[in-house]
Amino acid sequence: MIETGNPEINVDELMEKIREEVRRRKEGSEVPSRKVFFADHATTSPFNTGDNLPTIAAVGNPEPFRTKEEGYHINDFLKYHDRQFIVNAYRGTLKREPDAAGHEYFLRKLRAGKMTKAEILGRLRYAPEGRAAKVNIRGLFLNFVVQSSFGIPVLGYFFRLGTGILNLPTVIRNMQILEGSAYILGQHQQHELTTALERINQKADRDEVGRIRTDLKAAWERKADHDEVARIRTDLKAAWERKADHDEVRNLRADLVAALERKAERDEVKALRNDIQSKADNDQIREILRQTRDHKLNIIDQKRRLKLLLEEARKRLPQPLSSDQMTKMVKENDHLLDAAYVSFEDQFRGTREDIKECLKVYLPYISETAAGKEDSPIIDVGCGRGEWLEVLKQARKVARGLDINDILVEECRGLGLEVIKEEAIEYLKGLPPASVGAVTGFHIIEHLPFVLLVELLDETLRVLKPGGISIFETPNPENILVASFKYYFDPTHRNPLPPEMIRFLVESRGFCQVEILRLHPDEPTSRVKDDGSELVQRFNDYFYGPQDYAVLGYKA
Amino acid sequence: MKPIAIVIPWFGRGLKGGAEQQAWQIATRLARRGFSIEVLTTCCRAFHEDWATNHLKAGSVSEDRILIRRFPVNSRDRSVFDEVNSRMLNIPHSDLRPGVNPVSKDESVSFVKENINSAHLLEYLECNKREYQAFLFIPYLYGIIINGLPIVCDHAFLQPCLHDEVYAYLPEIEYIFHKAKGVLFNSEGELNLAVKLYGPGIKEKSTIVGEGVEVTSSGNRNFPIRLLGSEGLRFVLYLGRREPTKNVDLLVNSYADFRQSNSNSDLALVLAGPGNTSYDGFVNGVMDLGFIAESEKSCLLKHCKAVFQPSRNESYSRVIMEAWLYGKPVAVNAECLATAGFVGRSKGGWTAASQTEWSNLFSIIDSLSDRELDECGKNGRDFACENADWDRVIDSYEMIIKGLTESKSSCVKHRGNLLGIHQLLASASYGDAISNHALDIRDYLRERGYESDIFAEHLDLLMAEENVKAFSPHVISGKSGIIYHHSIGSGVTYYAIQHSGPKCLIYHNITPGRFFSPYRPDFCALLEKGRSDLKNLSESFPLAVGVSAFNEAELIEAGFKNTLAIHIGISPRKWDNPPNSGLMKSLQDGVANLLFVGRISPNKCQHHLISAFSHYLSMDPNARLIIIGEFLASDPYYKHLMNMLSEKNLYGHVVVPGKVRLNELHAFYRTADLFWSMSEHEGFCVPLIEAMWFDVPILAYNSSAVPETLGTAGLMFNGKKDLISVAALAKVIIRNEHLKEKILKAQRERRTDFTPENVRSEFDELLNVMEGQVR
Repeated sequence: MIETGNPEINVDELMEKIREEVRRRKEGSEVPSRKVFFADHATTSPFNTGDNLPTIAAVGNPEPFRTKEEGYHINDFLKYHDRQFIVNAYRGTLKREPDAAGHEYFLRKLRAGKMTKAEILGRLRYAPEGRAAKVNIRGLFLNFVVQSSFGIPVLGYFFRLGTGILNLPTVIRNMQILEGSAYILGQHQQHELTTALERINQKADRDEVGRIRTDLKAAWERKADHDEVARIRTDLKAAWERKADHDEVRNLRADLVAALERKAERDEVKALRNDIQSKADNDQIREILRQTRDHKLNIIDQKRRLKLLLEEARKRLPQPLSSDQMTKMVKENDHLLDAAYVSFEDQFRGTREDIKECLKVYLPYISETAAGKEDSPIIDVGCGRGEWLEVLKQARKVARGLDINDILVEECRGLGLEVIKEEAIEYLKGLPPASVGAVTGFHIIEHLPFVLLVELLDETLRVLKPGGISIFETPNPENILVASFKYYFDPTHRNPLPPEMIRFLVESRGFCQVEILRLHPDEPTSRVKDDGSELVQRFNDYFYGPQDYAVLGYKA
Repeated sequence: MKPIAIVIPWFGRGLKGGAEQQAWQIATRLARRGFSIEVLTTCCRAFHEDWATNHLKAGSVSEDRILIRRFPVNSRDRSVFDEVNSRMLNIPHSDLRPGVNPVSKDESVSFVKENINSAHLLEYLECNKREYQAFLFIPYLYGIIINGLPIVCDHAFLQPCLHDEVYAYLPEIEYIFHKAKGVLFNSEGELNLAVKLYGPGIKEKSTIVGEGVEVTSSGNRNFPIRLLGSEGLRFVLYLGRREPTKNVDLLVNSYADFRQSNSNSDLALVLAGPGNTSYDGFVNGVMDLGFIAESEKSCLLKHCKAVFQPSRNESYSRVIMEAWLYGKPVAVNAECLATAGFVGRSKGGWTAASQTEWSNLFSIIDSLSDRELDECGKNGRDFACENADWDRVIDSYEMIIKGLTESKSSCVKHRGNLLGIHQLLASASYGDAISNHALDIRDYLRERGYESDIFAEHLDLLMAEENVKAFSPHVISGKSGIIYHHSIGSGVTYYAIQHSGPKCLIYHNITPGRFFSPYRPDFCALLEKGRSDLKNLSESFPLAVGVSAFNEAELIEAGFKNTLAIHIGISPRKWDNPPNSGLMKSLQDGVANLLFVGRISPNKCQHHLISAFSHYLSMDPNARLIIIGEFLASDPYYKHLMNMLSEKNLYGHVVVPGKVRLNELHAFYRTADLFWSMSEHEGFCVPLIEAMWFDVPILAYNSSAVPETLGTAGLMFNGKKDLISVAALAKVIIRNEHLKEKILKAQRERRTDFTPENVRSEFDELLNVMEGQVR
């Protein structure tokens, strides 16, 4: 067994010593437990190896939170939810009540799913104030590091993959809990909704509407000249019967409207209707609807993943993964953040209607070309929620969207739009040359590495028919607020793309008549009041000028 | 040549004390050989005077061709110093740990601050540091030395006269050892002590200069009746300060034991030297003569039976050399590395540690005949004549001084056809083995006069600070030579292939993918591609180099025609900095530290290590396993290891700190009891050589390049089926000092094969071949 070139070592003698040690060995003796070595070496140990990932306590009524001097385990916090969680997190980590801004901030992040509980705890604990408070929270550091690392490019992928696989049992359990809690939440919301609606009805019935009805009725009774109406009606009927020309009908209709207006005291009705609407807690309902939709999307996605994971879990663990299982899970991993990204877009990109309005600016450009016919369709790369496709559909143009986000694709298909779930460049590569009327991409190119951007342009040029147009819109870094700040709202953005650089690039790849279209300056109200000075002028240009631009290019 | 300055707190011909005597001898003897010598010292007269009183006049005087500059001392708070000092002296020696401050930071700072200091002297050093060729600071533990050395550290040599005592453990002392340009030791034992306290980083800059001892042959040689009372008294002699720190108590007590069991013996114990305690009559047969004259000392030496030196704090001990020069055998403390080393090499006496051993030595002396004692003493005399000769000692100083001027002017420049040789690599990251290798090569190429840069496709900030450059096409002229470091394929590979000038490929080995297939199939594919790419490269590179013969064999198999093996040079110099003190403290808690260093990776088989370690604990529960190396928390293999730890309930016994900083790694190596590798694939394995430098015994699985790297120094095992026996072997190595010493002896030889100086000849061959490629 032993191999040595050292002449001074007698191997036989050594083997005898080894056998003696083995003989003396206490078979199956219990290993004494020892304090974790790095307990007081937090600086050297990046990970507290002592704790497993936490489990989320079942939804129910956890016992009231108690502050402890000796420190906490992360699970002491995780069993609480929503506001209660935030308040406890503050009490525990910083030993104080939350300030309004912090409370609001973390609650929003928590509800939007942008931060996990561990991440919030970590941010509090490892912020300067938290470090000063030095509260010991076992199990936090690992979770904090792992969960906040999901956002790191490339590395994050491995983090997600690794933790995903190894925490499978916990994840499954948590999902079941989540499903339960989402169900309860849904029910709760439904209840709220019903109550709200009831309240509206009651209120409307009870006072306003009742009064209007009475008023109206009285007005009708008091003022409506039955005869007059009857006469008009008869005239109308006669006119129709006589196949009276349009003018006469129009005159009669105008008379009717005037009569109705006069009689129904239209203004009053309008005012009352506004009144009702404002009382209907419209905003609350919209917010609830939005949240419900987010939750629904999330649950659908979780269910699908849960199913996949359960399949895998049944097959194996804790044995290492086989390669095809691994590939399957790796593929699934690409879509891990799909739901989160949809919520993200909802929050930051603006409402569907706003976006559609903005996109209409491109319709004339499309119409100038032959694009949008059956034999020269429009391809929208990264179609997202499909606003542009919808605009095109309404303008009776043939268009097709491409996206790889599972949830967005499903959503578009639900709207009756034609969307293909495929990587844009791969899809374009599969098309024959000169087969497309237009290629468009809104807020896409800033997500691509440079080489891919070039490849996208090259493929676009290849598939376009002569005279075909390409339109790519992207944030405009000439606006300083965009370049320095707003651009980074989207964590998947790469670097900002200056218009002149993009113009040069598009020209250099072979497009002609390349044009830059600067769009969407800030609301005039946000500009500094123009006193005619050059400073104000320039400031407004730099800070509130066009926030996006599009590069337009044609195939010769 | 500019003058040489000797910095010492007290200076004068008549001063007692080893360091003071030595300084005087060095100064005068070097001056006599024609060197310009200045002594920078204080106005304080001597060690036993008040350190805040200026007895002597400030200013410069000439004496025996030496220029002595004296500077006034600072005032000091003596009570604070005395308090700290007595606290330090009361710490039991067994509580002292290398790299761990024995007192609080405040206390050690006070010790230095309230020590003997001179602001004027420091100011002089600051203003005149360029006026001297070199500064020699003697000895290690005084304020002017600790504060003065860092000011002129580029030219500073420390002659510490180091003892294994509490002061040596102060961080302020460790600091000056690392700061000094060179350290001069009086004995090999003293050097070993310094390495034990401050790590192998100081080794390369250390020199053993030795110390000269002379005995006067003239003077009265009759028996000292005046001192001892009766002619012909048989006695053992102790010479030196008569105080507890010198272990005189131990000596007297063991003599008492001896007397108790040998009441009829007439063997006396005679003590002589400075000191306040008197042991006279303490036990029947003990004679304490107190301070005696030099001539009386000679007399005692001539007539004693043997000289006993019980002190464990000796860097040299002139007394034993003197005893040997008088032909007398000596007994020394087995725990004092310096003196025990001399006795071991000379066979001129005995060693003892415990009181019983010491009292036994009295019995031995009592029983031996004069002839037998003389024979033993003669061995000692031969050794002393050889080693304690001043001329030889001064020769070594002269060599060091000449070396200073030479190294500035002489540097072997190449004059070949190539102007530049640059290196290309995929990624350069701090601490990574390939990057370190590239930096070493660059430094050597520049030293040889080539233009040389490193270009990497990816590099981190720390490497950018090392002046590694980002690669872009056309940065390297087609006429320059390139050295391409091959790992898994990268963008630079293409340019290396295209390069038209002289070129070679260095192969650091690519791990076979099979190790990764259960954990990371994607990575596995990448590795396999990297290995198959190697075959395609064989046509493009006229020369390929493996960092081991094992790698070279793979290159030949891949079809390379012209190959070389050039090992990686490893110098302990990079450890010339203090280790992390917190870790030094926690790791020296009496628990055995079993160490492995290497990326957390399936081919390194940390999972086998954990399994074997769980068996180890069943035989020796007082141990911890430390697995150092970079990992991603998401890596399935890392998770697998973590699951193993939790299944086997090993948390608390296994430390997995990830990638650590250099000063932390230093601490882990310094405190390790075993380096234990289960790795199944290594291209060379740098940590093995590092462990050798730290005197950590190695136990490794016999695979890939491991046997080649270990050479005859290795203790390897061939199978992994019986991990219980492997664990038992680990325990035997850790707990059996005898075996451990044999392993370390072989490792100490093996490590020198890989010093940068020794691998340079291999590298020069590569340069020759590349020069030959120039058309």
